[in-house]
Amino acid sequence: MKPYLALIGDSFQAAANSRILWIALIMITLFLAALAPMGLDIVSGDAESGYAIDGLQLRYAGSDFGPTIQLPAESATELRVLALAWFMDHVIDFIVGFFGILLAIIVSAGVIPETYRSGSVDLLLSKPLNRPALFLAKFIGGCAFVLMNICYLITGLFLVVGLRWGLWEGRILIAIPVFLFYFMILFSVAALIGLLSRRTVLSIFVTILFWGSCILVASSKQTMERLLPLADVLEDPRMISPEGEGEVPQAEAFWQSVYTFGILPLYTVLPKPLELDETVQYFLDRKGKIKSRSVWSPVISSGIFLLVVLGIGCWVSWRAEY
Amino acid sequence: MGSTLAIEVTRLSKTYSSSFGLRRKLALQDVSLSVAKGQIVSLLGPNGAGKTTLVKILLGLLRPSHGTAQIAGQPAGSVRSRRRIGYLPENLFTATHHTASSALVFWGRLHGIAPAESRPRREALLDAVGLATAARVPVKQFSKGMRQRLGLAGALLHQPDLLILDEPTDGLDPAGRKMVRDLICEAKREGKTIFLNSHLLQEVEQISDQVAILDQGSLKYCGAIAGLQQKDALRIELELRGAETEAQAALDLYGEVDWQRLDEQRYRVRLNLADQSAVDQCIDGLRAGGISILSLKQLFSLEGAFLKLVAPDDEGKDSA
Repeated sequence: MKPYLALIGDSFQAAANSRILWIALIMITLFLAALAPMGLDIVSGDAESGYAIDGLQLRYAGSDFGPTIQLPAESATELRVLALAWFMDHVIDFIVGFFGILLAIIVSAGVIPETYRSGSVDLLLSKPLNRPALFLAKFIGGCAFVLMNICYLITGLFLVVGLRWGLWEGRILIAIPVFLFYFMILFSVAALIGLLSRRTVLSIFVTILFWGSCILVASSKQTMERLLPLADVLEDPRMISPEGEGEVPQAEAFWQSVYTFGILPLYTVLPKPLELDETVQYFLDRKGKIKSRSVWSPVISSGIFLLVVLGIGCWVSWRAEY
Repeated sequence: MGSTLAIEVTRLSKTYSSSFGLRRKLALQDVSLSVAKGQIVSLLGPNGAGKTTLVKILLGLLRPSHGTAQIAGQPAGSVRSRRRIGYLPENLFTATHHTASSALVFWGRLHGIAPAESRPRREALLDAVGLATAARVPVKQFSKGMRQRLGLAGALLHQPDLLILDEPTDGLDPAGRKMVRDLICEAKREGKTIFLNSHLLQEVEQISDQVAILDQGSLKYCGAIAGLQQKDALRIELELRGAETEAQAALDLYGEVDWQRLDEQRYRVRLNLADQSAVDQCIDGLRAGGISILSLKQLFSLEGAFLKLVAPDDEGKDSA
């Protein structure tokens, strides 16, 4: 086990010594510093609104920041939770879920290609190391480094929200494992491409393309699920004019088959980064509006995808000749 | 009972295939050789002879197409065999975040040696390879020669039984080369086996007990250097007296000739000749040109023997 811990530590150290790490840490610090003056005031309700609590007002450095946000809350506690959900949805999801993950991929994508370059891999494989374990150790090393950054950012947000908004919600910290998992899925793709091509830029490019494809498939699925029931209505003979008879059912059949044989299988197989934020929301949702089944299903299918990609990576590293 | 052989290769072949198996290239063909423990054996061959392929099979980086390779009785490439190997690649890449010292700590940990445990040996090795003062210097600031020295220290760190060194003196200055030769000889005195891949025949000649010569994937010779002398590779040293132009005209037929003027009329020349009949012809040519032969000495040259062993196939290939 010791050699593999050395490999994990070395990957971490390699990433920690890169200039990008310091840029990332400075960016996170600046973001937290920019967020720190933002306060949250709960505005009292009135008889007309029907709520005891009317809404919340964001303040930045003592001044009002935007209009009062109306939320259907009946108590200050409920409003705080809704505010937190809003914060998670708009700040954490967007900042961490997009820019943070993108930056993490760029920083860590070089770990695998650097390991498998000529002069490095032959030396490593001359040591008493198991090939798949070498691949996994390097993967874990990259994740450990990103975990450190996510911890810094989320803990920072937790402190800002606690100190400035009075919302000491430990459940914010659930974002740490969720976003680490999110990163692991995309990093597994980067690692596999890096292993096959030994090119950092290519692995970053393919990973971003893959990420975009996952979002596109998930969005297409959501859009089609909204539109296809409308087509059912249009298919009703009473809704079709005599001139256009027959055209709409054909179009509906086409989109139905695109959905059934294209979008749905792809959606089932691919990881679901868009839906993973629901997991965070689930843990914040005290009323249980989000069903646990809908939360765990993307986690499980994304987890299976992660295991399959890592399995392919282990197999490739085991079979490859260097 | 442990094997008495450090390396045993039996009828080893390796064929490289392109992605779809459309093109095939035979890199090694039916190679068999054995290396006894405690020997320094050098692997020689022209570019593309299959030397790197053989080394990579011994390390388990490549799988043989046919045949077997064993390290101290263990299948080559197995974890147990790799525990016994210290390897220096030709183009060692060390991650840029390391210093000389931290790189050795890391390599030691890959062999399960804790940093504290490896410390005395690390310091001794850095001193031995002349990097004691550069122990804290980042390797990204190292020259190629310094990286080679560090790689050699890394290969020796875990006290391996077998050292596989790929061009260990590449990029080193003369003092550095001597230092590496001394380290290799010291490792031999400690009972280690050294398997050396080098293009520097003069160095190979100085330190090797045996040579293995590969050409176009086939083993042309494996044995003691002295054995090559019996293979009719002749290098002749002549001391001549007479007109320089006449002597040059007579020797022009024999390719590259080393000339050394001793005085106005005397010269010492060294040249490679194919066999005894070529020596006779050369002397006849000189005598016909009115050149006196003051002395004639037969020298041994590994280079000559090597070129003789690998040349016929090259010539055949060129003429094909």
